[in-house]
Amino acid sequence: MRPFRFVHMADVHLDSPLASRSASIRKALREAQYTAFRRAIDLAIARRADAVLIAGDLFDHATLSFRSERELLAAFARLREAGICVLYATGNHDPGDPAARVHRLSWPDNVVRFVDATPRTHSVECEGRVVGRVTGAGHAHGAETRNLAAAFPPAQAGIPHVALLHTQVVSAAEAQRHLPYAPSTVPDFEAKGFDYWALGHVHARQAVASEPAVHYAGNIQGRDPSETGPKGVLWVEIGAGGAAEVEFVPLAPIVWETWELPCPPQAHTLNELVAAIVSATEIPRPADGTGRIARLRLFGPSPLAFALSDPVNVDELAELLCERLDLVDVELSASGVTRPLDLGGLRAEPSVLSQALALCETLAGDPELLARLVPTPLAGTPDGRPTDEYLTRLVAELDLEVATRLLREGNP
Amino acid sequence: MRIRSIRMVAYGGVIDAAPLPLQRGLNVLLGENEAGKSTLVHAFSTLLFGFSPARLDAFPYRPWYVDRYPEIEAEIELDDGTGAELHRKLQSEPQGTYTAAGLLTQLRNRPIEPVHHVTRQLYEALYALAADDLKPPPPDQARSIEERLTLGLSALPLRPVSEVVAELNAEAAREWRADERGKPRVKQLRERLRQNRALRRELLQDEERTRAEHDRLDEAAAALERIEAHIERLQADLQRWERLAPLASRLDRIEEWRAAVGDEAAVTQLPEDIRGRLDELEGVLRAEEGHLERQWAEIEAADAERVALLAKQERGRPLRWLVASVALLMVGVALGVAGSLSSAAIAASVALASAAMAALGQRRGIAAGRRAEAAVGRLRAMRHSAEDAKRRINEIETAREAILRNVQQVAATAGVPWQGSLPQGVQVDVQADKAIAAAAQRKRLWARILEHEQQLAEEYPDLDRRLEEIYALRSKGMAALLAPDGGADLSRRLGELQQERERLQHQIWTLQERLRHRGEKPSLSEVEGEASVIEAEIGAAAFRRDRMLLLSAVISEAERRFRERHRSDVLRRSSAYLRRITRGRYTAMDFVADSGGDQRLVVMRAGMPDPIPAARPLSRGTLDQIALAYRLAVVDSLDAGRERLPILLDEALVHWDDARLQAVCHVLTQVAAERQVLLLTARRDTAERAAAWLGTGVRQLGTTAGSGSAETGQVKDDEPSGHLPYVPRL
Repeated sequence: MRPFRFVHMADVHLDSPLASRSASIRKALREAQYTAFRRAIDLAIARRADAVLIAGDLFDHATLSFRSERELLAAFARLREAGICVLYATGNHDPGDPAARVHRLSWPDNVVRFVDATPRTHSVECEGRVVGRVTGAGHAHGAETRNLAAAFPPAQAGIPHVALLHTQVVSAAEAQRHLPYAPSTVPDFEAKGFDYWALGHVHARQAVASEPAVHYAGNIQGRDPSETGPKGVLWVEIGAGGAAEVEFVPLAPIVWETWELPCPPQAHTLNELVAAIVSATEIPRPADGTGRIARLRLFGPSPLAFALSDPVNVDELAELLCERLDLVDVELSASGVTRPLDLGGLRAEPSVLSQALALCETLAGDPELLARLVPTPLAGTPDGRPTDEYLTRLVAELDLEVATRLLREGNP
Repeated sequence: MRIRSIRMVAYGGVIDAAPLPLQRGLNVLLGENEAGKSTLVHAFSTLLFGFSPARLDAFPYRPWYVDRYPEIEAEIELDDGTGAELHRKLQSEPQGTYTAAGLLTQLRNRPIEPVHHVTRQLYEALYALAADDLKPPPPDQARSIEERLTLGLSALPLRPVSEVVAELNAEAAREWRADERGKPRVKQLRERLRQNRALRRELLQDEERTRAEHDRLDEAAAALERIEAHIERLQADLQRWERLAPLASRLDRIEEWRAAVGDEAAVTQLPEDIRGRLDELEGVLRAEEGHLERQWAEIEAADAERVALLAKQERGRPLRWLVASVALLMVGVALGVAGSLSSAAIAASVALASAAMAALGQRRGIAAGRRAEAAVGRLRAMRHSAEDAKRRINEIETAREAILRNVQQVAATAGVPWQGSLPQGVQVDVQADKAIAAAAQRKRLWARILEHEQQLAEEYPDLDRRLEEIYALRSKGMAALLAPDGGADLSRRLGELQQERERLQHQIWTLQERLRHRGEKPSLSEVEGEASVIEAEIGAAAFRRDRMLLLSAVISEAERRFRERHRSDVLRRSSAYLRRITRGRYTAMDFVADSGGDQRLVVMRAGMPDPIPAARPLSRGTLDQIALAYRLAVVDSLDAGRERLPILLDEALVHWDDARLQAVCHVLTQVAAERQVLLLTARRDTAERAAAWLGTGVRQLGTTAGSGSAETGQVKDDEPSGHLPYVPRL
């Protein structure tokens, strides 16, 4: 018997805001989203998939842009020409609100949408024979808090049967970074008998469980520095025995990297610093021309602290790193780099500085003193009044900055 | 640290002076005006801290009367007893060397290392005092002094707190200001955010416009496609019209002619020249009729001969000749009526006569008979001739009749009815003329038809195919496509469509351009992404501002605490100095904050509970005492643990009365136990009294006004022991 073969993608988030300081990078990221999506369609056609499963959040919000609309309909039309059906379950970002423009589109007839909580089953045919079944349910509105997985009917035996859902599996890695919509647990999946659960919502690609196979495809293109590493879709084949073979296919043209590096203390010049960073971040580069955008945070004591306090030098360093590391862009933060100070020694020497360092130590535990020293109104809180969380941030590592400010440059 | 000797090589008005040796401890120097007291005080600052300003053209002690570079040198002794040499010279660049423990250091214009704990300004304010300097420090200076003290109390190279705090406050204000004044970063970022949101709104509207315009573009493209197809069809129609319409038009005309011609067979049979032909036939008819008349005359002659014969016969053979005569009579009758008898009747008569004559012939040999036979022969010939004439006449009349019948027929179709016959002779029949003219016109028309058909065949080699197309179109009811004005109509419609096509093309181009321009704008997702970046930057800037101000507050608070902790030391010292200088009249000194937050110096007077501000209405003398006590205490604090720098009092005690002078001399004696003190005055009595109370001698700074070329200094050493003479090197 022929296996049921499909592409499992999720969280495409078309029209998602793309946070980058550079307008050109934002544009590049936007194009990368479309490119990744088109590549997924190419993959389905090239490998003669039976279906493309989209596990929600195809769009970022109801204001679907015209460009995305055209891209989408063109892609689905291509799949239609290739005889591939699209099974699309809505998520919290693209709920099945019938009034939304998204859901008023003239979808090609190869697109089957699951737009509410009621699970429905669709048989996928190939050359007149049913090769697989997909049971899916969608989010009808943007804050679905029910456990939709629990309401899924038992799978039918005999033919590969797949469940499609946008859900937060509470035990999944990085699940806490996402809102708890349609929350589910692994036992919900175990009881139903499906051969494969195609999930969306958590952007970190992962196998949530192996028996049955429960997978998050992750998003198709990283949108910000928190979504690091290769992104793409899962290629799934389910044979007669019901065992799912899952292959990750990277498709994102741009990959985010986030590096947190202690500033090498041995580096005394920008060039030495670049060399040290290059050797510290030397990871295998993608050979397929995939671009990399890095967010690099340098921290810790460095003889270059003073130089790195100058934005011009930071920009120059970023430029050098882009060139040496073959990066599309680097967002470099050197604000955590401090002068190599012996705070212990400084505390021991009676001075205004040691007095200030002592104050820094007691500040967090002395609300009265803190309230007296904190500026009023505060600029960084909505109402200008302090909150515990904000004050905690405000006093963190104040001692290093106090010492850096008070000591003359060149005389640590 | 003390100055062992100082030598002004060239400095202000002093040129090439001999070294001025100075004692450890107290030195009372008497110098009249212009003797170089102020020059000496300034030279001390320059020696220790370098030239200020370090430009030759601006330096106030550039030799006034000679063209020399300012130059000065000294031997010094550090508190640990080691010696050092110091030399400074201001040329185009300041030069300076400091040699200690055999190690020469190029100073250029830097201060020497032993004075690093104070600045030039602080030294001049605290260590080198003139009369006017002896007053309580103004708040800003007190602040500076205190700050210096708080910094100076530590071995760490700290920046002045006021500088750090000002820097932090300035940085904070660059990030965010509560009063929204200026252009702090957050304000600028909020402005960017406002623009970003405006752009977002615009892009949202653009989305709707883009959709509408794409719809219009699709519609326009579809309409253009339809119009292109229509134009193509019309162009084909027009080409066909151009190919077939002229031919069709000519064919139509020919058809019209044909219709006008009517009975084509009748017209075809008409002679070319109807009137001529008729006239011709008329002529022939006349000739034939003349011929017939002549035949008639001949028959009459033959008849006369017959009559004669009959007469002869009557006389000879009555019966047989009777029969012959009857026959002849019958021939005559027959001939007589020849003009109206049919040829058959004549032929029957002649045959009868012939039979009669044959019967008569049996009687050959009879002369009359032979003559009769001759007459019958002539009659027979005449009969044939008459028959021929009659036949020709009939033929002509038939031809005439045929022509006339055709003419009538053709004229009738031309609307000229004519039933009559042609007039005879000179009679004129107008209707006949009209009919003939009409027939002739139709005949000409026919000829034209034939001519045109011939021309068409010659002009159009593919005539048959064209004709087929024309007939096919007409059979399909599409004859209008061949109408003579069809070409103009097609061209007009084509023109209209081409105009419409141009309009649509322009519309499409405009829409495409508009969409292209819109496509060049950032997308909503990019703008929203930028908004999130700006919002993050606003948050970061606001946080930095709060952090800066918190840092500033922490540092200020630390300084306040530190100063409070250590101020007591200075105040304790200054209070002790004050008590001694005032001989117990004032007991203590302190700082209190005024309403504006500035620190004000106050003193406690013995027996009085409240502090008194160190300001008027206290007497000048008291204020001088307070100021000196405070400065001595500060100097002690600043130098604590470091090189103790010399103190210079340049006429500082000039306003002091004896009691106060004595008291301060007592204090200075104690001070001089730890540091070098130079007391400079122009008043001999002051110098001498002070020297007496101080237990030292007076040395005089010599003045020699050298005709403006040079000024030298010298000292009269009232106390010869151990002092080198200070004489100019002339």
